[in-house]
Amino acid sequence: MKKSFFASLTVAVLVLSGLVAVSSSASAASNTVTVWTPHTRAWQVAEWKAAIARIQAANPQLDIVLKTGIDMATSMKAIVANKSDGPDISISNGNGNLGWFCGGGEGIWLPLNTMIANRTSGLNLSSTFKTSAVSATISGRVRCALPMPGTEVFGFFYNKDLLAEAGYKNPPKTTAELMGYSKKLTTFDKDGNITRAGFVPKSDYYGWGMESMWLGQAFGARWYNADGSSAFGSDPRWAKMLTWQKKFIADVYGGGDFAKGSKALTKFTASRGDEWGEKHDFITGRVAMKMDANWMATLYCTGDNWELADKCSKVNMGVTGFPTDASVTSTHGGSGVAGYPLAGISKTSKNVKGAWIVLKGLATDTKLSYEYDKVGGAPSPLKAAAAKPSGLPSWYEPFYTIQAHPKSVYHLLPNTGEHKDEDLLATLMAAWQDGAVNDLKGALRDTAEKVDAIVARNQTD
Amino acid sequence: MSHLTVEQIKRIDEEADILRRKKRMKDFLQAAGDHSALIVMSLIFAFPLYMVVIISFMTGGQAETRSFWPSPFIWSNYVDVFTTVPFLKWTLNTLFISVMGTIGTVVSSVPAAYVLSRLQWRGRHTTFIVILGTMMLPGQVTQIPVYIMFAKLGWIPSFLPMIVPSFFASAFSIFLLRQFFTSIPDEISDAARIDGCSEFKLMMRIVIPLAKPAISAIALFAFLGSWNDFFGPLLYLAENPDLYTLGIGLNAFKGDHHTETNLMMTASVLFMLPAIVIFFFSQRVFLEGVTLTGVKG
Amino acid sequence: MLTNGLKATSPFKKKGEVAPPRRKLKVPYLFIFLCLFPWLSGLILFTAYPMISSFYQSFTKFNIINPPEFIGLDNYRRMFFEDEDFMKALKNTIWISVISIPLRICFAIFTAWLLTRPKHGSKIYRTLFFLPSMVPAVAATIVFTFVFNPIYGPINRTLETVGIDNPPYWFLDPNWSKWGLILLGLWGIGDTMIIFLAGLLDVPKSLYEAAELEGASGWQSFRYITLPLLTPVIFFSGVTGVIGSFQYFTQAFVASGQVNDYSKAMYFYATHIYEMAFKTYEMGYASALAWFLLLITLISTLIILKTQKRWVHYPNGSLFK
Repeated sequence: MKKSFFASLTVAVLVLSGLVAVSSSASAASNTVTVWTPHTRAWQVAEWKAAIARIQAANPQLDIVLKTGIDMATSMKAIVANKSDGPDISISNGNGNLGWFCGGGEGIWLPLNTMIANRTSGLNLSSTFKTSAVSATISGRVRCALPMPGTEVFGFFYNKDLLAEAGYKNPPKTTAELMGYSKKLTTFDKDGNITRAGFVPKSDYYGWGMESMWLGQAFGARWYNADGSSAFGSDPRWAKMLTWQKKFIADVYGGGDFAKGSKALTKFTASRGDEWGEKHDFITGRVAMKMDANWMATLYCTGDNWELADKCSKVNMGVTGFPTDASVTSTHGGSGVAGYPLAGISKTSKNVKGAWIVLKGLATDTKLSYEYDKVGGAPSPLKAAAAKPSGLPSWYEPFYTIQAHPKSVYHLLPNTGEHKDEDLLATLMAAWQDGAVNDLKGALRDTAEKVDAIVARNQTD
Repeated sequence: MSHLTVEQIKRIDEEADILRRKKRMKDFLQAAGDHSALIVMSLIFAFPLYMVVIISFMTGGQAETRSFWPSPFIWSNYVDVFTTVPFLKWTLNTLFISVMGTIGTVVSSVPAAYVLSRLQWRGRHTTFIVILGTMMLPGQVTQIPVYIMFAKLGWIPSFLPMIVPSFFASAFSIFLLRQFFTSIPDEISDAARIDGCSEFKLMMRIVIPLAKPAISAIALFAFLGSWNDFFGPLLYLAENPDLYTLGIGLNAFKGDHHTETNLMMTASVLFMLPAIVIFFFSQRVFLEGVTLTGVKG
Repeated sequence: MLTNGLKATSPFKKKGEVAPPRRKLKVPYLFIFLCLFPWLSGLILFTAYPMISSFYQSFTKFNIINPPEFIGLDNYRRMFFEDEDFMKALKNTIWISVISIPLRICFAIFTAWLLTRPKHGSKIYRTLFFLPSMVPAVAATIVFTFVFNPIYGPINRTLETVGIDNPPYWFLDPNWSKWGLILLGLWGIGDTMIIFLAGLLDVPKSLYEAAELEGASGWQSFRYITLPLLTPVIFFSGVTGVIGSFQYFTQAFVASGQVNDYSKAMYFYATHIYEMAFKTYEMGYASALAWFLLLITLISTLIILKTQKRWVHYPNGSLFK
C-alpha cells in the first residue's frame, strides 16, 4: 500500500514539475525582450542600464536583456540572418538610414503606425516629442522608429578670440558675411600656404562629407519635392550654393583664382590635425569658424576630457545657427540641422508586444534623457520640461534654439538604401570642388535622376 | 719547326697578361655595375620595410614629422600596442584559423592529389580539368549563396566559415601536389603493390613520406594564405570584435583610435613578422614550391 | 588487391630474370572515391550549388529578409544603362589590368634577370627582393598609404629634397591613387619574379655561349633566346594576372578606407560587388554583377589561350603532358 502510494506521489510530483518547467520556459521565451545598443562609454552604458531597470521594474512580466557596444550594422546583419539570439530592439546612432531600415514597410524594422495609434497602449507623438524628433522617425508614410536620447544638433562654431582680434564682435549671419569674415581671418605664409583658414567649405576637411548637407541648409535648399521626387535638379538653390562654394574657395584662398585657391586649400586640409583629439584644427586655432555637431563641443571645450564647462579651457567659442544666404535669412536664419538616434523593433522579433512596451518606455523615459543629455550635452527629443538638463553652460544654449527652429528638421527620408541620396550629393560636391564638373546644372539634374531611380527601385508594391 | 725566340715568348706573355688584366677589369666593372644595380633595387625594396620598423619605435608626434630615425626610441610601443588594442586576441584568432585551415587543406588535398596522379582510372583526366577550371573561377559567383548558407546555419559570426571549407580540399593544393606526385617513379608504387601492399598503406607509408617537400610547400601556402586572408574575415568575423583577425583588426585600427600612426606601424610589424620568420626558415621549401606551380605545366 | 592471377613473385627476388609483363591493375574505385570525397562534396556544396543559386538570383530582387522576387533581365539592364558606379568600377578594373599586368611582367623579368648576373651573393639579393611579397596585403597597403602620404610620408620628403617641387599627392589625389596601387603591386613582385627566375635559369647556357660566339649582342641574345623560352612563363603569368586583377579587392579596399576615397578612384569591380551584396544587401543585383565578371574573365582567358599557339614556345610540346 505504502509503496504504491509513494510511487504515484513521485510520479505526480515529476509530472507536475515537468509541466511547470515546460510552461515557465514557454512563457520565458515569449517574454524576453533583447535590446542592442551601440553605446560604449561608461556613463552611457550606466544610464541605459538604469533606464532598462526602471522599465523592467514597471513590467515584471517581461525579461529584458540589454547588450551594449553593438552597432547598427551588426544588428542589421543579425536581423537579416534571423538569429535566434538577435535583437528585438536595435538602436542606430543617427537617422540618415531610416528609409533603408523601414524599407517601405518591408525593411528590418517593423512599421509602428498601428501600435502608436492604439488608444490604450499607443503614444501621442506630437505632445511627447519635439517636432524635429517626430520628423526624424517617418519614411514616406511608414513610421518605424522612435527617437532616442543623444540628439545631434549641427550648428555654427566660431572662435570668439580670433574673431575679436579681427575686429568682429558678433558671428556672421549671412553667407556673404561668412565670406567677408573669412577673408580677413585667413592668413598665409611667405610661400603662399594657408596658415589659418577662416572657414573651410570643402567636403573632405573633417568627417564624412556632411558639408553638402550643411551648406545646403545654409542656402535653404530642399532635398525632396512634395511629390517625393528629388529636388536636386529642380531647386535652384543647390546650384546657388555650389557656385558660392567655388567663389569662396577662389576669392578667399586664391585671390580670385579657383585653381590656386583649390590647390592651397587641398594642401591645408591634407595636413589637418587629428579629428579626435586636441590637435583638431578648431582647437589649435588653425581654423576660426566651423559647422559641426553639438557633441564635438565637449572636445572643443575641455579637450581629451570631453566635458562641458562654463569656461572652456581649450577654445573660447560661441555657437549659433548657420549663416544663411540673404534670400532665406528670414525663414532659415538661426537654423541648423537636428538628427536623432533611433530605435526600432526587428522584423524578426518574437515578442513584438513586449518589445513595444520596452521601446515606448525607453523613448519616453525623461530621466534617461535628462541624465544622458546632461553629460553629453544633447538637447532632449522630449518636450517634457523635466527632460531638459540643467546646469549646462550658457554658451551651449543656442543648440536648443537651433533644435527648436522649424527649419532645422532633417530632410525627408525615403528608402535610398544606405543614405545614397546623401552619398550622391557628397560625391557631386567632391567632384565639383575638385574642378571636375563643367555643367553644374546638368550634373545636379543627373544626381536627381539617380536618386529618383533608386527610390523607384526600392518601392514596395 | 721554328722555335719562338725568348723575346717573342716574352712578348706573348706580356700580351696575355694585358689581356688577362683587361678581362679582369671588364669583369670587375661588370660585377660592380651588377652589384650597384642590385644594391639600389634592394634599397628600394627594403625602404618601406625600413620605414615601418623605424616609425614603430617613434612617438606619436614624431611619426608625422617625416623623420628617418626615431629620437627617442620608444621601445614601449611594442608593449603599448597590446594594451591599446586587443592585439593578442587578434593574433591568437589568426593563429587558430591558420593552423586549422592548414590541417584541413593538407588532410583533404593530399589523398585527392594522390589518386589523381598515382592511379590510372577512367575519368581521371576529366576530373583534373574540372579542378583546373575551378581554379579559374572568380570567387564572386559563389560568395553570395555561400554567405547565405552560412548565415542560415547560424555560423556568422564565427570561425566555422573560415575553417570548415578547408576540409573540402583546395584546388591549388591538389594541383601542386599532383605535379610533384607524378614525378615520383611508378616503379616504387608497382613494387609495393606487387608485395601486396594496400593502396592506402602505399599512400601513407611510402608515397607521402617521399612527398614531404611538396606537402610542406602546400602547408606553408595554406598557412600563409589563411594568415593573410582579409576578405573571409571581413565577411564572416567583422560583427564580433572578439573574433577579429590581425588583418581586419589592423584595417579597423585607424577608425577606432585617434590615428596613432606609430602604434599602427608597430602593429603592422608584428603582423608581418610571423610570415617573414616562416619565410626565412623555410626558404628552400617555399621557393621550390613556387616554382612547382609555374613553368612547364 | 592485386594478387589474383599474378603468378610471378617480386621482380627483385630473382636475379637475371626479366620481370613479367605488368598486369592491368584492378582499379580500387572505393579508395579513389573516398580520397576524392572531400573535394567532390566541396565541389557540390561550395561551387556547383552556389553557382546555380547565384545564377538564378541574378534574375531576382533579393535582400535576404524577403524571398527573392523574379524580375527578369532588370538587373542586367540596370548594370549597363543605369549604374554609373558599375561603369566606374569596370573602367578602373580594366585600366589597372591593362597597365599593371605588362608592367609586372616586365619588372619581374628585369629583377629576375638582375638576380642572374652576379656570381656571388645572389641569394641575399633574392631574399631582399622577395621579402616584400611576404608582407600581408593589409599591412603592406597601410605601410604604403603612410609612406606615400604627401604631408607626413618620407617619399615626398625625399622627392622634394631631390628637387621635385609639388610631388603628387598619391593616394590622396584621385588622379594618382591608382598609380600608388600599381607601385604597391610592383613592390610585391617577388612571387612573380621567382617563377621568371626559374624560367631564366632553365635556359641552357650553351645557347648563350653559342650566340656569343656568333657575335650576338646582349640585347639580341635576350630577344631571340631568352624571350621565346620565357613565353610559357609569360603566358602563365598573363593568365593568372588577368584572373587576379579582375578580382582585385583587398589593397583597394584598405587604401580607400585609409584615405576616404570620395571620387571612387580606387573603386574596382570586386569592391562594387562587395558593396552591393554586403553593404546594401542587394543580393540579386550583386549576383548579376558576379556573373558578368565570370563572363569577362572567361572571354579574356580564352583570348589569351587561343593566341598562345602563336607566340608561346613550349620546349617540351604542350601545356598538358
